[in-house]
Amino acid sequence: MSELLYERALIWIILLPLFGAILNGLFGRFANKDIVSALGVGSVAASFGLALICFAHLMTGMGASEQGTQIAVTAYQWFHISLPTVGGVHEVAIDVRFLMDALSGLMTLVVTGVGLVIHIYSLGYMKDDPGYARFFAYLNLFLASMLILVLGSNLPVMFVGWEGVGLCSYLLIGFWYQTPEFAAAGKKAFIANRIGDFGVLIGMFILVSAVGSFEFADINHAAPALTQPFFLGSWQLGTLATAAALFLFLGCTGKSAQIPLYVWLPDAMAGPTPVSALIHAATMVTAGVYLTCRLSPVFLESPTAMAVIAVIGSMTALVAASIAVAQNEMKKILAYSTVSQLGFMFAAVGVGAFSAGFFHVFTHAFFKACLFLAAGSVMHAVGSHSDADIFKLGGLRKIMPRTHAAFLLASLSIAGVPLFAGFFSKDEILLGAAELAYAPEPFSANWVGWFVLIVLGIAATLTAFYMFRMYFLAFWGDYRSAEGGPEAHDSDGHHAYDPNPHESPGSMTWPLLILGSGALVVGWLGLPHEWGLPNWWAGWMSHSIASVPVVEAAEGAEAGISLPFVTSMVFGLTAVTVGIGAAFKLYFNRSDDRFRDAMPRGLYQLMADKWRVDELYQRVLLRPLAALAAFVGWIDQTFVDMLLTRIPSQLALLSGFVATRIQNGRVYTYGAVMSVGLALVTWYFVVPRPLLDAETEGATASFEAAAGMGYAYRWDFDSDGTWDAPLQEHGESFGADRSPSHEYGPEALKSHVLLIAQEDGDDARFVLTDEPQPLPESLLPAGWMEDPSVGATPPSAFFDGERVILRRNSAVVATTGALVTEELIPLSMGERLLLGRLDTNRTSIRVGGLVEATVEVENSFGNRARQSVELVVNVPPERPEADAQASLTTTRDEVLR
Amino acid sequence: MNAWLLVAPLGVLAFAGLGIMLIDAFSPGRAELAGVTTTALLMAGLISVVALLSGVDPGELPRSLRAFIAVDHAGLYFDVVICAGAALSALLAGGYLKEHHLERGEYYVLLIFSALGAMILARAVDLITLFIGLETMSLGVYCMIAYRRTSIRATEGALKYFLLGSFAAAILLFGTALIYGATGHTDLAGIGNVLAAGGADARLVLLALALIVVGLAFKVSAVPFHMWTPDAYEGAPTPTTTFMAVAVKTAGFAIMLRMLITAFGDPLSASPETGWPPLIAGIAILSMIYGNVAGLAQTSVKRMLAYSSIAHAGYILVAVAVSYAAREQAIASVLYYLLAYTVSNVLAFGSLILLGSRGKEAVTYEDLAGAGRRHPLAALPLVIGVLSLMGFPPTAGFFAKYYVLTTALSIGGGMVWVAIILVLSSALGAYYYLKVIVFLFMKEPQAGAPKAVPMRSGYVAFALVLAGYFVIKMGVTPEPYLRMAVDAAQSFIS
Repeated sequence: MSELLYERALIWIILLPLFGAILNGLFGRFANKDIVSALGVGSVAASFGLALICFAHLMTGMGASEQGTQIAVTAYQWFHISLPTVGGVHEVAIDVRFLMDALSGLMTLVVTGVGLVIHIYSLGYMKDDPGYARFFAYLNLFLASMLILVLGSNLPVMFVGWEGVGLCSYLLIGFWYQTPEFAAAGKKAFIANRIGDFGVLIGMFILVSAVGSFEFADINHAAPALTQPFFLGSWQLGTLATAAALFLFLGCTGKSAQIPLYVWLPDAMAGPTPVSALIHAATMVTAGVYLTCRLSPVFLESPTAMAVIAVIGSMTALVAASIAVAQNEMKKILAYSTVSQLGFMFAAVGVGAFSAGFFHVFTHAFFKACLFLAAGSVMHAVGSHSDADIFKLGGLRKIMPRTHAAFLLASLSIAGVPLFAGFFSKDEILLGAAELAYAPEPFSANWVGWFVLIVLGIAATLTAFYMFRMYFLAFWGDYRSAEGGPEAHDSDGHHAYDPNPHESPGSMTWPLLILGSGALVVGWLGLPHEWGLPNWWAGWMSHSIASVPVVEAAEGAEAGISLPFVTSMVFGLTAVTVGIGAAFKLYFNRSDDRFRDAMPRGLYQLMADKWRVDELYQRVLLRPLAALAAFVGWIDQTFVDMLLTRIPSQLALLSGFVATRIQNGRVYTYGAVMSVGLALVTWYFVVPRPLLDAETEGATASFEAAAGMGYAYRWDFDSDGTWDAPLQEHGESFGADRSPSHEYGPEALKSHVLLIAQEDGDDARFVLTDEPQPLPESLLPAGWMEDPSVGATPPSAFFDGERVILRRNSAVVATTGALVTEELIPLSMGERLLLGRLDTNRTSIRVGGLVEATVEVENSFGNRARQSVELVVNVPPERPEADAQASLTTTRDEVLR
Repeated sequence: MNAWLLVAPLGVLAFAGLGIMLIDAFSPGRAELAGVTTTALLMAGLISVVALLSGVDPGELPRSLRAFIAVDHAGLYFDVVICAGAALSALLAGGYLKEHHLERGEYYVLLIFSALGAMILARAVDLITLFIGLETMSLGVYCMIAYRRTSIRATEGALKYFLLGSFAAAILLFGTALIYGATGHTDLAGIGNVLAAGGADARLVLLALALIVVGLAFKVSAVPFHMWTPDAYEGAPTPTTTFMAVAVKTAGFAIMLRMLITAFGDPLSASPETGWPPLIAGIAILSMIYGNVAGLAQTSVKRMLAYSSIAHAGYILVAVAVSYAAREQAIASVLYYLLAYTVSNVLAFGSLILLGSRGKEAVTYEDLAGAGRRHPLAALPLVIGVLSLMGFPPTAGFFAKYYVLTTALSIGGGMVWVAIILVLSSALGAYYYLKVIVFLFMKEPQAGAPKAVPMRSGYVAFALVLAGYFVIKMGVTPEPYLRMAVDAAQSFIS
């Protein structure tokens, strides 16, 4: 009973924000602002409460079984598809089914928990926006979609959420759609995501065709069997697991902003800051990591895919971090920082440390959401709408103490200072890479481990550096936009920023502090094993995520300090120290960009220009595409819109007009039309229809005429004017036999035909006379002549009264074995010749006999109808002993006549 | 459970009709007759649902009753559809008649007796019951069309329908007489047995079949027996139009299925080459093409919906035409279609009612111009309604069309072409359905043109909410409804 309660609760976790979205979306703009707020925040709060209850239930029941407890509920069967398999058709049911285990449970907590905090923050941040209700409707819709994504227990349901969050992201990036750049940013995000979604769909189809189920559990269970090769046409794309994993990962590069599809995320910061915090930092962008964790057994099955993910992830981490170093605006820096951190997560996935990657998802949600909200708070304070230039800030430490505290906590965390959350999760990732680097055979992917370790080490150093560059410039020193400060006025002499900034209201700062303290403590859930500390995280995750089989070498060093551990610690701590140290040296209490001055000019410019990747895409992809689109658009406008659309549509309208003319309002017209209809229907039944159909095999043809009430049939198989069946003894009579067979003799033949096999599989008929006639070239294969350069005459054929004679002319002719060199080739019925030069170009020719059969049908009204059909039969040449038989039949026929 | 439950819905309606007459006689113009009528109809429908779910054994009913009235699951299913359609129409009438100062008790009496006739017709297993049901239903409907006596269009529509309806009834009656003459039976099963045994004069049987098909095609407004439809639909008060489009059509298809499958289901009458299947397919093709093409040229939304109803008759006939082969699937798709069509149509007609008020009615496309921007909530059901009629997912209409299509395709052969015509002609139909949305949201009324002003009515709103709920529900989770239809279809065959 209580299980049922939890199942209900699971559904309501999703439904509550959905209802919030619907109500606010439909009625919000008519409603009081307080009601909108209550609905928007209340639904999320309730949802968070339910999620907490469910998760607590999950945790208390955890020890009960080996798989761990899970809450699963099938809402209803959505639809089913029929999958063609070798043994027939396999029905795949697609249920709307939700499942909460440790993995999806934690993600649900993050989504609803961080979501709740950000909703509260938005109350203050969006206070004066005219689209207040719309904003909350979108935000709630996003939460509902994200929860569907996370809690869906199969790929299609997950995909509904996947698309839903994409849509909401688009809507919220372009929330201030009146600004064209913002709308364009929304479009960019949507398109990049669509490219990835295509990959997810393909991956889904590969998995369902291989496994026969969409359920994650079934797919993961069947993952070890996904070793068959996968062919794309004739090109082999690794095993099924590799193909599926790579296509799914393509989807992840879109949603989770990895190389090459990361370009949308920095632009996505055009949306309101809470959106950046919730969707583009804490939750949606980690959906890709979530998906790889969910399907971790499939990914583990493919070392190739894992290596690709590891390399792309770590490269993304490095590239994005290097860009962040050279940016000047808070949200821009944080955007690239997010891309970079997502790279860390995928690097973890790629080295097989799924649990560590997901741990980083978890901690990142706190510190990055906190950072974004703090940036929003700063923007709010200085009255900036789009972003905040750190060189125009400074000294905010004293003006905004709460924001400063939260920002500092989160910065320490993301930089990886020991004891902060980011330290533990980042260290787990480095440890995963180090373990792979030191792994003995058969894990031959050591180079991947080293690559990831080194690249992530550099990226982590850069992370610490750009974070504290931002921190020192924005919060220390003096406020540069103050009245009389160096940045007080922009070139037009206006105040760029409010000269007297103020701390944000409590509804904004409290969420900041909550998230900031989260950035400190949540890391303690996953303390390193090696210190002999409890790692709850790994315990939870072990039920949901597959992991690389543990190497038994570590057996002796139980809870001891191992070599990989030391390596990862060295990398991690060095990165923090160097990064923060450098930032302190260069930027503490300073206002100029000393880093830029120290760097080579070109390199710095390149980094500030984001390595010019957008320009590259513009040049290589978008411009050719735009040209193609313009061309296709022109075709569409001239050809499709005019010829194919305008003309038929006018015709259709015209025919509609004509059709209604008959509807002239006079009742006797109506009666007349009905009478005509009645007459037609009666005619249909009164007139018989034979609908003759025939099949031949050798000399025998089987016929079938239509069945009908009161129908009687008679047959004239050779169409000689005499009815053959039923045998006519007393004048004309009909019988009930509607499907007779008849064996033809030579005397029934109307003429002989050559059957020339065609490429489409049918035979072309060529009726012969006793005069030689050339075969039409269109029926012959391309290379039938002796030599194409010689002016060739096609073969001709005629019937000499006994046999068919084929005159070879210049064609190459073979029997099945050898070439025929005679000029005149005699052919009997059924004999086969090959015509043409090459094996591939040949066509076969054979002789058949043409007969015509006729049926007459009489129905009970006494009406008759006749139908004839021409058939080609294969009547064997008359052998002497068959002659007697044939003559016997003939005699009998004559007698009967 | 008591077997009388199986026929109780009929009894409930009969007594409710009498009761409403009494109430109206003793408290004229005071009682909420729309509410009473709806309650009675919903109760009858509910009893049918209960009977469907509980699996009552009909064996306890007297044989004399079972010989005339079907007590199978299909009958109950039709009860549900007809009661739902009639109840929703009654709700619409509750708002419409008051708004237009037409509220008089006899409308509800007529409505409830018509619904009773429709249910009897849908349950008829004997030629006698068939005719009684047909006339009970039709007479009520004639009066309901002419209900607004001062309107010339209404009387004109009613008279046309009455004249042609009498013609069609005579044709049908003649057909039943012939088949009785040929087989010596009036019960459908008995006719079927004689025909299967081959003991009837083929000429009589074929003529009877022709006449009966024509008579029934008239009731479902299939081309070329559809001529009355646009005039009657347009002239009638909109609740009556709704009732005709849903309940009358459902009953027509019910009796058509019973006739064709039970009485004329033998291999020769139902021969896929010369029997009724190709004939029905031909009528279906004509209806789909004509309905959709003529719908293009309409300026009145109500008239457009009349042509749309002709086109939908064509779609349903496609499934009827293949019921000789893919029996269970085909019948189930007809049944599902009828339910989906009922709720979608109520939504479309109901929102037309809602969008207009006295003197400012919404009848033509022009009337609707800009109404969606001015009154989004009132326009929303119309949007959902036309989308469902168009067959747009995720609405009931999508799966209805989908099931018909898959059924037709499963037969193969010539039916593939019929399926292609179905798809192409419904693509034409999208034009006039989407035009509604275009006018609602993308056009502004011409200067000086009358604007439709929405009325306020709890009845109409309730009907729209109910119908809208089911349109979406059947589009999102079609399986339970389909299962119900399959279950009813099975009882049909056995």
